[in-house]
Order: sequence, then C-alpha cells, then structure tokens
Amino acid sequence: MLRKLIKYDMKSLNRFLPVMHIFTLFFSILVRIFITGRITSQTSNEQINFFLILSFTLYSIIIVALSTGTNLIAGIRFYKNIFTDEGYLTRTLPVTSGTHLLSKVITGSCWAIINMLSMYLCVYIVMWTPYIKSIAAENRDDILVEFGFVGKYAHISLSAALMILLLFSCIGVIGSIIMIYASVALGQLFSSHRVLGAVVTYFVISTLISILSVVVMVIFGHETRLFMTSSLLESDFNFVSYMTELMKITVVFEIVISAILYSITHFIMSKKVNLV
Amino acid sequence: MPWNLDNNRPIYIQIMERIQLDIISGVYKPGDRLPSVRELALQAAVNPNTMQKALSELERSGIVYSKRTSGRLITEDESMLRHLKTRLAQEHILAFLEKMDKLGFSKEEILTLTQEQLKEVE
Amino acid sequence: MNPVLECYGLTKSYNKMHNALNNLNLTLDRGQIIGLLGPNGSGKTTFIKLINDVLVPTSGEVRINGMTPGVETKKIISYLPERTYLDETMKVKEVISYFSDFYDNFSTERAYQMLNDLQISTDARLKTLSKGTKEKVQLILVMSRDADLYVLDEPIGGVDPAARDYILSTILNNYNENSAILISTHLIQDIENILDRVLFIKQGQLVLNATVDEIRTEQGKSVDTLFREVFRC
Repeated sequence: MLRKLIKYDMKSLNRFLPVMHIFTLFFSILVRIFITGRITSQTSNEQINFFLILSFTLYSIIIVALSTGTNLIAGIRFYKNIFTDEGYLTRTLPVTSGTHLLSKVITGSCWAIINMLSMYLCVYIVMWTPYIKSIAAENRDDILVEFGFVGKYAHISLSAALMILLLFSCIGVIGSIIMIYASVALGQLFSSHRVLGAVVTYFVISTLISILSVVVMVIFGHETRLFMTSSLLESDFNFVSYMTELMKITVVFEIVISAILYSITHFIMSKKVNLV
Repeated sequence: MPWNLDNNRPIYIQIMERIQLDIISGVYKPGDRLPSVRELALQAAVNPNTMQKALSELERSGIVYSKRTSGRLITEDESMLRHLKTRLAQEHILAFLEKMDKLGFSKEEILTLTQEQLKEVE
Repeated sequence: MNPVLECYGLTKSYNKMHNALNNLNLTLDRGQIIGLLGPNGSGKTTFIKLINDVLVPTSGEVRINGMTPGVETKKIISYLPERTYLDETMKVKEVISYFSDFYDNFSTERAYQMLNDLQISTDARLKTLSKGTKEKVQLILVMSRDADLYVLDEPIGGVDPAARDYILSTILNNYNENSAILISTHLIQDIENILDRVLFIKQGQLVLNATVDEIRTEQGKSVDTLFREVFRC
C-alpha cells in the first residue's frame, strides 16, 4: 500500500513543482548570460556593485520563493489530502494513518531535496563564471587556509566537504517538511480556523525550536561562537572546526526534534482527527 | 417502470394483489414461470425481501408453487384460478357498493344505475 | 451470521454543551436495506462519520463485523459521503484506477458498465463535470465495490428523477444477503419502497427502529407520513 500511496502523492506534487523548478533554472541561466557572466576584470568597481546587488536581490527573492513555495505546496497537499473533503476518501482507504504520514513525508522530502539540489545548481550556474573560477583557482591555497582547511583538516577534500554539507542540508529539509506537517496536524486541534491555527502553530514551533537550540548551544559551551562576528575576531578561530562541531550538535538536535514532531503528527492523525 | 403502489398499506400486500391481477388478466399463464425475486424486485422497484415475502404469501395460498430447479410457477389448477378471479371480482364489487352507499344510493337505485350504464357501454 | 453493525452507548459531542449523538445502541443484520432518517442536524451524518472512522467517538463504541473501525473495517465498508471527495484535477478513468488500486473488492468492469449506462465519458476531468454528474460518478465508484456494508449519505439528493430511478435500481441490483445497505436521506418517499427497515434519529437519539411493513400494518400510514408526524416543527 505504501508504494501505491507514494505513487499518487508524488503524482499530485508533480503537477506544480517541476514547472516552478524548471522556470527557476531557466531564470538562472538568463542571469548568468546577461548579468554575472559579463563581470570580468575589466568591469569597474561601480559596475560590479550594481550588477551584484541587482542579481543578488532578484536571486534571493526567487530562491526564497522557490523553497517556500515547495514547502508550502507539500504542506497544502498534506492538509487537503488528509484534513479536507478529500480526507473523506483518503482516510477511508484501507491504509493506516502511519502509512499515510510516511508516504507524505517521503514524497514531501523527495521534493524538498530536489528543491535543495536545484538551488545549489542555480547558485552554481549563476556564480561559477569563468572569471570567478579563474580568481578562485589563482587564490586556491589562500582560500583554503582562510576557511580553516589546515592542520588536521588539511586532508579533507573539497568534494568530501560538499558531500557532508549536502547530507547535512538533507536532514535539514526533511526536518522542515516534518515541521510543516506537524503544524498542519496541530492546527486541526483547533475547533475552528484550523488553517490559521496551523500557521500560528508553525511560528510558535519555529520560535520554540530557536529558543531550544540556543539553550542546547549554551549547554554545550558554544554560546560565544553563536555570534560569528565576534568569533571571527578571535585569532585562533577555525571555520571548518567550528562548522564541524556545530553540525554534530545540530544534526542530533534536528533529528530529535523531527522524531518528536513526527510522533505528535502520527498521534493526531490516528487518534484525534475529526473531519468537519 | 416502478409499480404504482399506494402509501398507507403494507407493500407486500400490494405486490401480491398486483401479481394476482397479472395472473388473472393473462400476463402470466397457468404453468408459466415467474421471474426471480431479484428481477421482480427490480421491475417493481421494491425491496427484494418484501418481494420475497409477497411471493411466499402467494405460495401459501397456492396460486404459485415452487419447483426446486425452475423457480416459482403459476398454478395449473383451473378451479383455483377461477376461484381467485371470482374473489377479486367480489372485492371490487364490495368496494364499489361501499362507495355507492356513502353517496347515499339504495340497493335498488344502484342496480338500476348499473344496468343503465351497462347498456350505454354496449 | 454475525451482525454487520453494532453500537454500544455511542456518543459524540463537538462541544461540551450538547451531544450530536447521544448514547446510541443499535444492531443491524445483513441482507437489509436500512433507511437512516431524521431532520437536519439530528445526528445522521455524525453517526455515519463514526462508522467510517473520520470522527472519533467521545464515548461508547461502534463495531463493524465485530471489529472497531480501522484498516480491516475500511476494506469492507463502501462509503459515499454527502460531499465531493475526489481530487477534482483527476480524470474519471484515473479515479477508477485509484479505486481499483486500493480496494481489492472493486470491480472496474462494473464501474465502466455503469458509466456507460449513464453516458459519462471516462476521459472527462472531474472539475469539468456538473455537480450532479460528479455525484453519479461517486455513487458508481461506491456501488462498484463488493462490500459488507454500504453507507450512503444522501445518495439521491442532487440528481434528477431519471438518474434517481437508475441509482435506486443500482442499489437494488447490488443487494445481496451478505451485505447491508444503510441510506441516509430526507427524500423518504422516493426510497420508501426499497427499504426493509427505517431508523428515526431525533436530537442524537434513536426514536424508532422498525420495518416499513410493521409501520404500515400497525399505524396504517406510510413512513413518509409518520416521519412528518414525529418530526412536526
């Protein structure tokens, strides 16, 4: 049954998301051709500033919109399919709530990861112009040292670092999908205005998680490092070692939070659902 | 076409009457096989259990009988059919007389009126 | 044969003030077509939702084939809600394969036959269909399953009289001794003749549970007339 559910859930997400992503990739290529690709060593400082500001602003907006849109669509499909009129069909299929949730998390995560990869791809297309590439190649050693790939970190290859970064991001985006589902499910506990309830719940959960993460950081003695600027001033600051430490804690933290939210969602779906 | 049934009387009784009428008027001939309960229920647009009950009642009265392999058949007993026909006629006449009585006609008046009407029809 | 549906003290309240369904006790046997009758807001739909596990009871329990609502009961109940529950962007034939994917007892052949009878194109997208046609599609889907219990919430409300006759004959056609059909409606006159039994629900409570012929024999009136008397405003 899980396979069949995934098939249909994927199908319904596939109606909107590919178009959005293809559009963004297409847009990135345009930005590269007409804006960033034209920046060379001959470009004056003023022009660089203008182009960079323009492309970055446009870019951030589109990329933020794309990720938000992806998460939002996954959330809306979850809400509509389980908790609205469609729920009368979905919830009377001979499938457990657990299987429904698992299918939704898998399909939502798939798209969140596709979204993340296309974002990286977009950044790559836009930023990695021949000019920037040549500068990077010229100053390769300096950049590595600056980032802290020295001492015991010197042997880490760039691709290995990228893989770790990707893995870390995957955990992050799956976590954010689960958090959206949990908000939608918790919103159902309101007797009316359940969508508004879900939105409010989302912000409450994010605030709580931020507070909690600060607490965790303090417990593990990273409180000063939270403020990058002050940390950067420290002479012995090493970016790579800082990130590695941070990731270790954050990954564990993220997984624990996601597991809790997943269980809450599961509990609500199987014990508390009252379709209007 | 759903059968025309009225509202206040038990449905199975009305179904029995309808089938009896069909037998007398020759829709079903002696020895004919009746359609199955399901078919009849669909024809009449009534509940199959109600149809079943009506047929069982008819069977009890002997108008139809069941054969294990071929379902329900109409009786071939001519005298029973004649008897049924007479009984139905009597019922109609009784109902007619009751109405005429309500309208305030005496027995003699009813007879005269009926005879006049019969002549006109001819 | 075990009863197809049992309720013990079944109660549902949406708020603390009043119970939408109040201590309902009921047993329904197979081989019957049962009318669930009551005015708006009497608790009919609440009862139906509890049977189908889209609501959780406040207290008491409901059992289908002796089982509490769950995956196993959903395999044997075929439910027609009073609203459109299909993903409107799907085509009719996609919905058919959706049903046959999830329900082992769904007959694709029967569904196509009925769609053909009612001249509904299988290539049409649901959102292009009229409300009445959508209701017909849903009823076809529900009646194409070989279920133990059919639960139809207002199946004939939004369709024309000709389609109504077709729907009623579809319901009769599907009747068998092993299954029960529970129909909620306020169009009593239209379905009275196909019912074995009627349940009257008033303010969340069962006020009458009798066969149609019992009512006619004992009271000398139709269910429709009795309903108007019991629920006179």
